[in-house]
Amino acid sequence: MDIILHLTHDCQLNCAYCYGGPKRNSAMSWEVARRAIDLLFDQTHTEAPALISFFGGEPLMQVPLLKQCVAYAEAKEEQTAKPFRLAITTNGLSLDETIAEYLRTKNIEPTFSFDGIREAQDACRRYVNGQSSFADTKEAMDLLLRYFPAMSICAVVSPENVKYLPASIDFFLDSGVRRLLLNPNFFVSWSEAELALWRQGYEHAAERFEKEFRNGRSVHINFITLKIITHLKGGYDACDTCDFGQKEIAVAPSGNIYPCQRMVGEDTKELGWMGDVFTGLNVKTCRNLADVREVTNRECRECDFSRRCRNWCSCVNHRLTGRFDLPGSLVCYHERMAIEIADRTASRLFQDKNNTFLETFYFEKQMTPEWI
Amino acid sequence: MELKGVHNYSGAQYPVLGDYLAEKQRARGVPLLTLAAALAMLATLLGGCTNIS
Repeated sequence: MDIILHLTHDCQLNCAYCYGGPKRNSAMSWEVARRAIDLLFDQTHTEAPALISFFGGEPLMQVPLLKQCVAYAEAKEEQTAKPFRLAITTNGLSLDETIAEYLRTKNIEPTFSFDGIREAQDACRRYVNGQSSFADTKEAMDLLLRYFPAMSICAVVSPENVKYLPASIDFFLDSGVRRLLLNPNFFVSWSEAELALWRQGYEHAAERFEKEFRNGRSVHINFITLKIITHLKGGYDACDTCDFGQKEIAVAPSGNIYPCQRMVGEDTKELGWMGDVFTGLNVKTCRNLADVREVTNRECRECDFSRRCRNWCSCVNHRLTGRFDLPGSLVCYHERMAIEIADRTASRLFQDKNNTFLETFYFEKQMTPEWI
Repeated sequence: MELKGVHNYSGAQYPVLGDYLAEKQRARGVPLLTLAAALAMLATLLGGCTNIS
């Protein structure tokens, strides 16, 4: 079991695509956090380390609570001999050297939210007062990269910023980023022109990916790397997915539990509510969620891409189609595009016997890729 | 736009991991990294979510 702790609903930014609901000063109480961590340790029965992810809002607006959680988890590990890992998703705007050093000391793996060049960042990720957050975010990224050279950057690709995608990809890779997560905003309408720009951006990502490998530098661009891996291993397995509340839960500041951080939103308990940290997981609700998530529609079952497709993301499916088991057409478009571009890139690198590619994906040196 | 299945796709012109490791082992005659170990390493990348935040 992994757990995502929404330490607060508050944030310095007012991102156009945020699914976190209106910003408000409502931090998680220590009582909720403690009970959530207790629940995690109680529910963990495997030797694999359980993951505690700090999320928000902006979790670094609650550093004292975060530190309290880490100390408590360390004590629980000591008591129970159950190991755990830590991660955080942050916009970096509360960062300083002291916090960065703390994150490194505690091995809290960051994912840094940043959309790219100034125009891309300003299109969706402005401060609450409307001012640009680009300069401050760039400074924070440079700082955190010094502490975590393999840090992931999460850039949301949305119709408002998609025309800057090629320049933003160059910006990140030229800044020394080696793990780039291009995460689509599926929850808005995309025009035909914007879809074409999206494809152009992905084609550019593939060109840069190939260039980096030809220069002997192994990088991770999520849609390419993940689709290559799904080919190498024959598709997603059950163990690769979040399993919609079966392996990962999200805890709202109130203590309510949901199967996905996207469903915490305004914490209305309307959809996906699984219980709370005070009374525990509601077994019947959890069973119902498990029953509805399997993709059974004919189009997906008959599709050659089915096993390599993220059609299993029940939360996105429901938001787009009203059904947990039916992906939206935009997901279908994205997955087809990602698989085709990734395969074309990988086929070229393999046929050219590119050493970096073979070492990274076929373990030619029996070594872990640098970006793992 | 609609949900439409793709049929007869053959765009991946690179081998699956199991085939590659088996071929290399045959050619070299020495045990290589096991498929299970390789898959476990790759699987660490497949988890996680496409969150937007």
